[in-house]
Amino acid sequence: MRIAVVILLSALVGLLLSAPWIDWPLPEGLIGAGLMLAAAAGLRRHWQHRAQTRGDEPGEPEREVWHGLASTSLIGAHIATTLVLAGPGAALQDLAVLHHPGRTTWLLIGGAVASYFILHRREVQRDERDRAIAEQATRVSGLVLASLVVVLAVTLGFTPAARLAPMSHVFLAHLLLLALMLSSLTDHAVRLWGYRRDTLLARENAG
Amino acid sequence: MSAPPIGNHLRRLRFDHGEMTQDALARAAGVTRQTIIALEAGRYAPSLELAFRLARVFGRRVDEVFFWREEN
Repeated sequence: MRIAVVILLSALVGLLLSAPWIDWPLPEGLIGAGLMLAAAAGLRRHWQHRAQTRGDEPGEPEREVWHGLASTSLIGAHIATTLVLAGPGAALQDLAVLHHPGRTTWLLIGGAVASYFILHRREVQRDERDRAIAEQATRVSGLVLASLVVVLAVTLGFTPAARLAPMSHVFLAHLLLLALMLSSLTDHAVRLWGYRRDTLLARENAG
Repeated sequence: MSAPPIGNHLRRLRFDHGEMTQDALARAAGVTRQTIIALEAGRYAPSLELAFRLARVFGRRVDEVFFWREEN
């Protein structure tokens, strides 16, 4: 449940940052990056508190995955919304339609990188359990990516040229990027499910 | 997903060894504290190498630390 909430909330922020009907007081990319940094700082404090009071704070590998899940959802939703609004014929040269959102995307990526270093602890230890959870997630996300590529390949391959003609190369490139991001999101979600499952049962056994 | 078929006495052994903390056991065995938590909760079955390392921490044999659930 928590995983779905993080995905949906992050995606909502990404969507709102792309919304043309909202007149943001600052560049959207800066707002998004600022939100990421604030969320990372708040989370770090929350986990430190949990470590001191309950001792069940997530380990470094799990923290990285939470960060990846939220960042990927936010940035992916922003890119997807931009594509929908730009339409299949979007061109890079169109400043209002793609150039400005492109700059926003890069600012969001910068925010994601900066927030990672806020959450990241120096002592990073990955053990066999982390590798086992990652292995399972990689299998599932690989399957998702392969499925998406097959769907795209078949759809593009069998669509009449006349219907494909309005689609710009920029649009198609971003479709592939979104497929990759969806696969990455799946990887993060499955890893977190693995960690959450252990944590919830450990709490049940302790209680 | 069902629990692994391998149980363990890690929690009892920790308390028998001067109330060793999960963190201390994790450091001694070279794993994260979260993995010790998962092991004690019966949610994770260790590799053979980790099983030997954990047994060595307590100076016990592997079969004195871990067991098949059907037998217990």
